[in-house]
Amino acid sequence: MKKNSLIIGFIASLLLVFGIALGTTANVQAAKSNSLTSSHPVQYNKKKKEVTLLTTVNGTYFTQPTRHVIVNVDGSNGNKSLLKTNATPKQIYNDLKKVGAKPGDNLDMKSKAGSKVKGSSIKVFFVINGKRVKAEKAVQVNNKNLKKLDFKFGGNMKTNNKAKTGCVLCFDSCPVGIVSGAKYGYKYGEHFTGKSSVLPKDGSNLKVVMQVK
Amino acid sequence: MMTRLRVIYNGVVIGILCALLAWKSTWLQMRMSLGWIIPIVAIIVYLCYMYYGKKLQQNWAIFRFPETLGITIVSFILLLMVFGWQGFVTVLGATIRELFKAQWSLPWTAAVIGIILLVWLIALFIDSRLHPVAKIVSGDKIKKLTLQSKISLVVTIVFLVLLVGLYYVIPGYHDFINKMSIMLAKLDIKGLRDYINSFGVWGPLISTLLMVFQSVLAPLPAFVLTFANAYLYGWYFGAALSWASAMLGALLCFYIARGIGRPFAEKIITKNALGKMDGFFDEYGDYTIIILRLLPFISFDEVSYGAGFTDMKVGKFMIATGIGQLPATIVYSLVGGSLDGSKMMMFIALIAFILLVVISLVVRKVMLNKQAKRSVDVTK
Repeated sequence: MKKNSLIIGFIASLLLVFGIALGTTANVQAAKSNSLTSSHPVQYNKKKKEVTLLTTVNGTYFTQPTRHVIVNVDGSNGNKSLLKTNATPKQIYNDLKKVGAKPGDNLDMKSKAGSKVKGSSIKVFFVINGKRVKAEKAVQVNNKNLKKLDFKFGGNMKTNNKAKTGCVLCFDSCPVGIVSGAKYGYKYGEHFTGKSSVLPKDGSNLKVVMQVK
Repeated sequence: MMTRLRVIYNGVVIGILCALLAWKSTWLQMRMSLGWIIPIVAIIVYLCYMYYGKKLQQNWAIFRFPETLGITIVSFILLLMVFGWQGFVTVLGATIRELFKAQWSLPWTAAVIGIILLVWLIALFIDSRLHPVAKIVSGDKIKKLTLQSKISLVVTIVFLVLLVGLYYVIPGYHDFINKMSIMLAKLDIKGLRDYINSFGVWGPLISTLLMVFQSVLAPLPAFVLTFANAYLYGWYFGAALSWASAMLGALLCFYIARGIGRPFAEKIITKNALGKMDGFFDEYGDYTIIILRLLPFISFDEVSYGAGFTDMKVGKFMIATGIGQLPATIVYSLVGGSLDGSKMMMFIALIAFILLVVISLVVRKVMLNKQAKRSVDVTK
């Protein structure tokens, strides 16, 4: 008898804890930043040569290293990036082309380590408190600040379709990501962390602007 | 029912420990959802319970409450040391929410897991008070050939064959062993230090592997590694690393001997010789190990093997080894740490070293006297 009541008490307390947890954690999501929503996460502006997309901050990578900046949530790397988005790599690829960017398409999985991504230069900004902040200012490598990541429109639509990783924006030269940084070559092995002092907190929405130079 | 809950709890805690430590490997954390490690480890632990605990009646595999509490506390402290509080909360939360592909708040997810584990642990504590689990008495099984000892023998032989066989098959392993043996035998402290350092974050792991490797291969000296560790990580952390990895090495030697087992060893070394060794360990058991460990120039690994053949308990062996190797480890680490300069440190180290030799000689003399007295008593 005692044993049974102990077990029932134990299960009840587990349920209670779960209840509290669900009650407090289910308040995230439902995004609205200007006209961007989680169901319409991308916009482009031909005049300004800009593509804007809505993302969600993943605070895991404030302390842990990653090489993925923006990844589509349904991709196999969906949980491995600093920023998650509902926008698909294909949408971003098409919109960047529409605003006049030309894909480099110079890398594939067999490329030599150290090869650098080519394509139209892209400036990447994070919109924090209404202000545009360069992506470089929001990340660091081994606790050191960065100057320029030199993002390029790598294109890579073929490998991207095949790999199904969902990669949109990579930190270093990548044969899969639609846009990636040419500062670090392919398979360079360097990783970055997001700066919690610059970026909004985990779970917040963040607009990202990609401007074709 | 409660036993199963207890075993699963241990599985979950060990699983969380493994999953969180796996975050330290960027390669791994970029490729898989580390949360899966938790159920996998929990299942392995449960299977261990089913086989070793239920069938073979081994104490470690039933995870009595004190062990459960110990595992929890050690895991928690280890994770805090590795990640710090903020990192720990983030990584724990991330591991769980990634598993469910959810966007829960990181601190809340970590808090919920913490509370669940705490409530679970309290329930186990209450149960351990209401229905204490007695230790399984192992009896004198060590001298008989049981199913368990047969299995251990096979597992140990397979392990040893792999250890030796792979040397001829894998070139990397072959080169590694050769390089290490030469460095250790030549007492090349600087070479060893640079080698360990070249592994970066993985240095301590490589150093641990080296220490275990030198334990299994008895003739190689361990103190070179202790020097190198202190040289690299400072005397304090170097000493902690050397101490812990040497314990691991001693444990492995002990278990290799245990695995080979008494009945098999009796055939090779003869019953008489083993009987003598038993008597020796019986009489001076714990002290022998402490003293032998104190003496700097004795290869301790033979003693670990020897102790494995007697019916000495693992716990006793580990405590004696731990205490016995502490002074020498600290002294070597002080010397190792001062190799880089600091004359004061060098001075303290030298004094400590001389003290260590003197004390161990005195203790040895006292012990010999005691032994002589006893043998006189016997003749009366």
